[in-house]
Amino acid sequence: MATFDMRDERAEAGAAEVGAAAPVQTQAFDVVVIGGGPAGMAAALAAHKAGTRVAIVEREQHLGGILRQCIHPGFGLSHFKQELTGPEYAQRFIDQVRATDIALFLNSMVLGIDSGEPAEDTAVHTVTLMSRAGMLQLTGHAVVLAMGCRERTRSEIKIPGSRPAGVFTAGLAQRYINIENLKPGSRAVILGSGDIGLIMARRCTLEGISVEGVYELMPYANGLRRNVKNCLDDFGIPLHLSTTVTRVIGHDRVEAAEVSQVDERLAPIPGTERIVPCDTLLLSVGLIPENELSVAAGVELDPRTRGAVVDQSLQTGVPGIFACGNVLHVHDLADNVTTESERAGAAAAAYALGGGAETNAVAGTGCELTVSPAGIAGYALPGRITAVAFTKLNFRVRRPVDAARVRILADGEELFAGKVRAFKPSVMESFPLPAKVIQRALDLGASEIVLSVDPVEEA
Amino acid sequence: MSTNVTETLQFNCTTCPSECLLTVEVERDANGAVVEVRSVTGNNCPRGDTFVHQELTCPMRVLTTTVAVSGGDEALLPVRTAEAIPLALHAQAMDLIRGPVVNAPIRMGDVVLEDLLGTSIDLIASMDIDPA
Repeated sequence: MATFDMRDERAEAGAAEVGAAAPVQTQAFDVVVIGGGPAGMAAALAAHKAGTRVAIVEREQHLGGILRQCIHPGFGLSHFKQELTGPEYAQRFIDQVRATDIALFLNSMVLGIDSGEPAEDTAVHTVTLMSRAGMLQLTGHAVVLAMGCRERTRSEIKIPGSRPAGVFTAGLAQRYINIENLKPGSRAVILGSGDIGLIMARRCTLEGISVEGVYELMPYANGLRRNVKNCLDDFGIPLHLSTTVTRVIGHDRVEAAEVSQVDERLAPIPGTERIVPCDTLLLSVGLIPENELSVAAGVELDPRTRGAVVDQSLQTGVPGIFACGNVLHVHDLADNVTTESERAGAAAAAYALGGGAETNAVAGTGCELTVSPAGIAGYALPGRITAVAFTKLNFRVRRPVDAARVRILADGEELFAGKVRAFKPSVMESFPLPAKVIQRALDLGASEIVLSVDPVEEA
Repeated sequence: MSTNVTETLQFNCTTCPSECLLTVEVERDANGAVVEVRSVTGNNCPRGDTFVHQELTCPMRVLTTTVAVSGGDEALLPVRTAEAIPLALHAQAMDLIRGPVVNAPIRMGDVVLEDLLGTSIDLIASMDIDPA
C-alpha cells in the first residue's frame, strides 16, 4: 500500500490563472477504481492480481465504505463460509489491500472522468479528484465505477405533513449511532421493511430507543427473512404490512406520525388513519445507485436498475469503463458484491493490459445481443451480451410468487427454462445462461434475448 | 393424564443464505416448555434440524454493538460476541458493554471483555482502530 500525500499546489495556481491551463499533477495507473467499499476493494484486488498498477479513490478517511457502519452479523456466509459482521468483512479486504502496492487516495472526492476518443487504441481515462491538498489527476487505461448507492429520502416518496427535525433515512441514523456516537431520538417509527430498516429496528432497541413499529407499504416484508426474524420477532417489534406513513406531525421536532392502511393499488384508505406518537421517523424506502459521475462520463444507464448498462464483462457503453456493486444494481448481500466486483476488476485489468484489444476481438464475433426482462422480472443484467460464453444473468422479481419459472426467449422461441420455484423481490437472483443458448439465439438471427419470469398456476 | 399440547410453527432457518422455511411440530408441556420436537420439514440440509432444536430451547444470537474509543481515529469500536450467546442475555449484556472505554490502537479480534456474563464467550473487536 502507498498512501499519497498530495503536495499543496494551490499556491502555484493563483487567481489570475483561472481559465488558463493550471498545472495539475498527474499520476498514471492501469486501472483506477472509484470507491473504496466492498466493490472497490474487490475490484482493485482482482485487477492487482492480474498484474496491473491500480489506484483506489475514496472520499472517506477510511476504506470499507458502508460496511463500517453495518456492525451487525450476516456477512461472509458465502464468500468466507462463516458469519462475519460488516466491519470484519471490510477489515479482511482492507488487510488484503494494505498488503499490496495498490495506491490509495483517501479523503479524495472524484470530480469527473474524462475519456479519450473511443477510436484511439491507446485511449486513457483521466480521473480528476479533489482532496484537502488540492486537485490531482489519475490516468488509467480502465476505470472501475464502484461508488455504491444512496438512500431514497422523504422528498422522493412525498410524505405529506410538516417538516420538523427528526426525519432520517435509516442509514443516516445508523451512521449516527454506530460511527458518530450520536443518538437520533428516543422513540422511533420506521417506514419501510427493507434490510436497513429492520436492522435499525433492532439497533435502536438495543440502544434504548423504543421502536413503535415498522410500517410497510407493500403486503409483504421487503427485507431478508433472517432480518425479519432476528430484528423484529426477537424483540416483539410489530410489522404492519400494507400500511404507510401519511403525515408527519410536529413543528420543531417530530411529535407523531400518522399511519394509514393502503388498498391493493397502494392508495391510503380514508378512515384508517392512526396517530403514532414518536420523536423520530426512520425511512428505509429504497436505494438508488449513485451514478452522477457515470452519467457525466457518458455512461448509459438502465432506467430499471438506475445503474449502467453493461455487457457480460461488466463493461459499460464507454470502452474501458466498468461498473460493479451497488452502483451497478442494488445488492442484498455484500458477498455478491464481492464476486461481481472481482469479475469487473479482472475484466478491467484484461482491458488495460490488452489496450482494449479484447473488445475488438469480441466485436469480430458479431455477437451483439441485448437482454430484456419480461413477465415479473424487474430487470435483467447484463443488458448486453457481446460474447458467446457462459453468462450469469442477474435479475429481481417485482412481486413475490410461490411458483414461477425463468424462461429464456429469443424471437419468441423458448431456448431454456428453469425449475418452477418461489421468488421474492428481496432476493437478487442469478440464472446461468450457457454459451450454446447464446449461440442458438444468434443462429435464429435474434438481436435480443428475453429473460422472462412467469408465474405458474399451481396444479 | 397429559396436558401436553402439540403446535405447528413456521419460521425461517438463519444458518445460511438459503433461509429455508421450516415447518415444525413441537410438543409442549403445561408450562410451555418444549417436551419434544416431533417433526421438522422444509429444511434442505441437516443444519435445519440442529437450528430448530436450539431455537426452541435456547435461541442463540451473536450480539453486536459498539464501545467508546479513546485516542482513536474513530469515536466508536464495533464489537461482537465471538460466538452466539443466549438471546435472553442480550439486554443485560448491553448494560455491561455500555461502560468500558478502550484505547486505540485496536486490532480486529482483540478481546474487549472476557467471558461475557459467564457465557465463556468473549466480546471482541470487529475492526482495527488506529491512533488519531
